[in-house]
Amino acid sequence: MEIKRGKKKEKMKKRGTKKPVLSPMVAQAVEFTETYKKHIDDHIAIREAVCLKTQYPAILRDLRPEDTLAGRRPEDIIVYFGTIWWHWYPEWRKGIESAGKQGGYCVNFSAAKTCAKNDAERKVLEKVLDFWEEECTQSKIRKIWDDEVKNSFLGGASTGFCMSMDFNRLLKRGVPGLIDDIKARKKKIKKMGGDGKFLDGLLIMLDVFKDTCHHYRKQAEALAENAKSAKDRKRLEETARILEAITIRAPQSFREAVQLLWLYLIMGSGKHIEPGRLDIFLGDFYANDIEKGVITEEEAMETILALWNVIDENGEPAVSRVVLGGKGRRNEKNADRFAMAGLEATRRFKKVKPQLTFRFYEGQDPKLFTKALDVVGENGVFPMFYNDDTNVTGASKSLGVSLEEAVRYHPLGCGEYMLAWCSPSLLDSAWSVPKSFLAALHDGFYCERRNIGPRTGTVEKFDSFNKLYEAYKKQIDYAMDISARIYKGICDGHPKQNAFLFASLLSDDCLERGRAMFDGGIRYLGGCEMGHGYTNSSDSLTAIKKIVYQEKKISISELVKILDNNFKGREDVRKMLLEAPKFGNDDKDADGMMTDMWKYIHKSAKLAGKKEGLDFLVVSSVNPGGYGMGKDCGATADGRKKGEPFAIGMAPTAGFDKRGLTAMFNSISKVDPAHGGATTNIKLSREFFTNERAKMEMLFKVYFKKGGMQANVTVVNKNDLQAALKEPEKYSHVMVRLGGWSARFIDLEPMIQEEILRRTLY
Amino acid sequence: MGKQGLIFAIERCSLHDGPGLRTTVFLKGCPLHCHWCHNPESQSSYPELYFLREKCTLCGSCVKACPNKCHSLSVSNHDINRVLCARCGCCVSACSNSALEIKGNPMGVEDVLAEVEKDHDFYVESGGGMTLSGGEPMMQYEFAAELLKQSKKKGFHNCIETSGFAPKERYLKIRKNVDIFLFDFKESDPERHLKYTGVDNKQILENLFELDRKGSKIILRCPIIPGLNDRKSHLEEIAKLAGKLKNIIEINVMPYHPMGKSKSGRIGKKQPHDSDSFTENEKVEKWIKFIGRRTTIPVKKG
Repeated sequence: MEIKRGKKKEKMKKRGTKKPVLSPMVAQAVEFTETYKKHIDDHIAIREAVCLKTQYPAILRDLRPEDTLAGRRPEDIIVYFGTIWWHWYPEWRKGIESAGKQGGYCVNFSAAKTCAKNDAERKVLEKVLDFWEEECTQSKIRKIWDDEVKNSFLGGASTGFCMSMDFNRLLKRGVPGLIDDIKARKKKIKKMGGDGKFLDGLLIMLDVFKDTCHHYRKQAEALAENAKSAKDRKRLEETARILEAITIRAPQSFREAVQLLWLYLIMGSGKHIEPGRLDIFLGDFYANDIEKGVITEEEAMETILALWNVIDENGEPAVSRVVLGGKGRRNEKNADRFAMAGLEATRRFKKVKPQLTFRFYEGQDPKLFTKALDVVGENGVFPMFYNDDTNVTGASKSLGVSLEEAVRYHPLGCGEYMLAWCSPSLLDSAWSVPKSFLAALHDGFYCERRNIGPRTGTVEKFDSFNKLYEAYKKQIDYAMDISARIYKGICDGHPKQNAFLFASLLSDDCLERGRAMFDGGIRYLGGCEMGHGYTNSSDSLTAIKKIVYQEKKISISELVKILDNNFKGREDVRKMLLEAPKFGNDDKDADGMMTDMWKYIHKSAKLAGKKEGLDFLVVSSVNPGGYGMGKDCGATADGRKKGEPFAIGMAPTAGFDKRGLTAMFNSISKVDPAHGGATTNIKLSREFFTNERAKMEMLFKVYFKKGGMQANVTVVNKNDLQAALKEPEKYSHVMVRLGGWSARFIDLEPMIQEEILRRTLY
Repeated sequence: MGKQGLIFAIERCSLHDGPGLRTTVFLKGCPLHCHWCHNPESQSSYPELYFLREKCTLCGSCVKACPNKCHSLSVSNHDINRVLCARCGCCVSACSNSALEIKGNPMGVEDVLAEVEKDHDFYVESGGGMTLSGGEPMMQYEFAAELLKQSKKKGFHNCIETSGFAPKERYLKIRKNVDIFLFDFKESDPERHLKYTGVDNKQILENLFELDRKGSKIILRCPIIPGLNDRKSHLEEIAKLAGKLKNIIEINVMPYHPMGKSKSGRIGKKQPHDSDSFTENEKVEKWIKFIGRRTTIPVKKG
C-alpha cells in the first residue's frame, strides 16, 4: 500500500519531536483528519474533495496477480468518507454498544482499541477520535433529531445511504468528457453569479479518480512484469492499458466500460455497493464488441464473471444488487443480450452476491423469463423476480412520480424502493407494526409499560371493532410521523457537511443544477421506512373482529389481559385465535383486512412525508428483520406468542398458510402494489425445477399475471432442511416433493423428515 | 340442498394428478385395501380420528373433553380406544396443540366447487382443472357424478383417479364429464392382485377396456412396490397392456413411499407392507426405461 507519508516525516523532523512511525492505516487516518481540520471552513465540496485525496488510493487494497479488474475495498476503516459504512457509533467510547450505518464522515469509534498496534498509536487515535466524536456526520445529524425522535421505538435510525448511480453518464462521456461538462457548467453558473465550488469539488474528485487509475496501472504493470505465465501477463498488461485509457478518453470496449464502472462504483459508494441496471449500462458495449468480433461471447463471459467476482468480494450480502430486464431500458435489444449473459453468469457463479434481480413485463423477450427460472433452479436463490407490470404502476402511485420515472424504481438492500439515479435510499429505521397495534390496545403504552404512542383510549371503551381500528390507525399515523421526522433530519443534516461528490456527479440533476445531492441537487429526497410484522397485525385484527366483536366469545379487555400474560393458562383462547382466518389462504376476510390495513399504512406514510416536506415517504415489507423484531414483541392476537418471530415480508405467518401455493399467490395478489417494496419468499425443493419444470413456470406466470409483485424463490438444500427440524417456525414455507406428492416439510412425521434428509444430498 | 360427500382433503396447486395445475379433491372410502396404500386415511367410508402423536404434550384436555372416554394417558403414552370413538370432534376442539383432527368432512357439491373455482386462472393458463381422488371416488358415486357434472358445466377440465373397481355402467355414465381417467393398474397377476388389494383384477380390466373402446382418454397409473410387484414379468405386462389400449396417453410409474405407513399409525392401523424407505431414484429410472423400451407410449414418474 502506498501511503504519502514523506511530507509528514519531514515536518516531524523539523519540529525535532520524536514522533513514532505510524502504521499506514493510522497514518492515513491522521492525515485525513488533519486535512479536514485544515479545510474546516471551506466549502463542503472542496473539503470533501481534499479529504478524498488523502483517502484514495491510500486505503484501497492492492491489485493481485489473479485479478482482472482493479478496485478493492478496504477491509476496515478508521476515518472514511463515503455514502455508507457500518461501524461503531461515538457512544462506543463510553461503553455503550451501539453501531450502525454511518454516512458522510464515517468513523470507527472502536479504532483505538482494535486498530492501534501499540500505546503510541492508541494515543494518536484517541486524539483523532476525540475530534470526530463531535464532528462525524452521525453526531451532527443526531443533534438535529429531537428527543421524541431519538427515543422513539422505531429503531436503528442511521445516516448512511445507498445509491444506484447513473453509469450511463460515466460510460458515455468518460472521465475527460465529464470534466468538460463540469467546466462548461461552471462557466454558466459563474455567469449567473454562482460560486461554482461544488463543481470545483467535482473536478478535484475526478483528479483523485484518475490518480487512482494510475496507481492501479502501475501495480498492474509491475505485476505483469513478474507474471508467471504469458496468459497472465497478457491479462495484466491489458488491465494496465485499460486503466490508462479510461483516464484519457471515454471507454470504447466492453472491458474498458466494466473497469471504469467498477472502479467508480467502489470509490463512490462505501461498504454497500449498488451496481444497478447493468444491462442498460453495459448492453451496447457488450453487443458491439461481439458483433465486431472484438471478443467472443465466452471472453465476454469471463469479464462478467470477473465483475461478479469483485462484487462478491467487495459487496455486502444484503445489498450488491445487479438488476437485469424490465421496463425503461433505452437499448432493450442489446440490454437483453447482456441480461441473458448476466443470468448465465449467475448460474455458473453460484454465490450469494451479486443479488441478481430480474425484472420483467408482458412483451419482454420470454426467453429471459425461462432462463431466469432455470437459473434459480440451479443457483438456488437468484435471480429474484420483480414484475414490472404491477410494480411500475405501484411505484408511480406510492412515490408520487410519473410512470416514465417510476420505471426507475429500484429495490435496494432487502428490497426497499428508491428511484435509481435520482434519489438516495436513506437507511433506515425499522418499525414494528405489531407494537403499534399493541399500543392501540394499551392506550398508547406498549405492554411493558413504555409509552410509545399517543393516548388513544383504554380498550374498555372500544365497544365496536371500528373504534379499536381507529385507535390503531392513530398509532400508525404517529409512527409514520416519527419516521418522516427521522428522514427529514437526515436530509437537513447532510448538506451542512457532505456533498457526496461521486454520487452527485452521476445523479439527476446535480450537475445541471450545479448543486450537491442533498443541497438541492438531486431530484427527489424521501425515505423508506422498513415495516415488519404486517401479517401478524392484520391477522390480529381479523381474529379480534371475529371472536370479540362478531361471535362475542370473549371481551376485548379480557383478551388484552390474556395477551399480556402470553396466553398463560388460556391455551383455549389461543386456539380460537389461531383458528381464525389467516392471510395467505385465499380467505376473503383475512385478505380483506390485510389489504385495508396495508392501504391505510401507505396513505398515512405519504401524508406524514408531505407534512415534513419530503418528496415521498413509503413503507416496505421486506425480510429479514422480522425474526429479530418478534423476539422483542409481546403476544399478538393472531395467536403468536411473546418473542416468536414475525411473518417475513408479504408471507403468511409461518405455519398459517395451509392451502398451498396458489392460495398464497391469490392472497398476495390482492394487495395494493403502491408501497415501498414488498417481498414474498417461497422455498421449494429442487424436484420442482426438474420434474415439474413446465408447471412451475405456469404457476409463476399466472401469479404475475394476476398482479403478483415479487418472488424470492429459494431452492432448499440439506442444511435448510436440518435447520427446519430445529426451528420449524422459520421454515414453514419449505415445500418438498417426493414420489408423487408434495408437502410442507414441517408437517411431516419425523421418520419421513429424516428419510428426506438422507435423500437430499446437496 | 345439493348432494353431500365425505371429503378428507382438498389439495390446491396439485402438480401430479393430471395435466397442468390442479385442485385434487380426496373422497373417502375405498373397496380395495392395498398393502402399500398411500392414503390409508381414505379407506374407511366414515370420518376418522387422526392423531399426530409428535404434537401431543400429554396435557389431558382430550381426556376431559371426550364424552365416550376414548382417550387414556399414562406418563409417556396417549392411547385411543377407537371402538368407543363416535368421531364427535370434542377432543379435536379441546386439543390446543392441534394433535387431533377428524379426517372426513361432509361437503356439498357447491362447497367443493367454490374451493375449486378459486384457482380458475391457474387452470386456464396451464390446462389444469379438478381431479377427483381418494380413496375410490366411485364409492361415493352419486356425489362424484354430480360434482363432475357441475364442474364440467363451469368449463373445468376433469380427471378422476380410480382403482377401476366399480360397476361398468357407472363409468359409462360419468365418462362424458371426465376428460382423463387416471386409471390404476396395480398388478397383472389376478391372484397376486387379490392378495395385495383384496379384490381380483377381472372387473377392473373389463372397465378399462370398455372405457378405451368408448374413446375415453386414459393415463395408466402403476404403483410399483419393491418386493411385491417390481418383477420383470409385471413390468412387461404393463407395456403389453398399454399396447392394447387405443386411447392411452401416458404411463405413470408410481414408486412406493412410506407416507402411507406413517399415516396408518395416525388412524390406529397397521400397514401390511412394512417399509420405511422411499424408492431410490435410480430404481425408478430403471423401471421407467424397462417399460419404455417395450412401448411407444410415454412413461413418466407419477
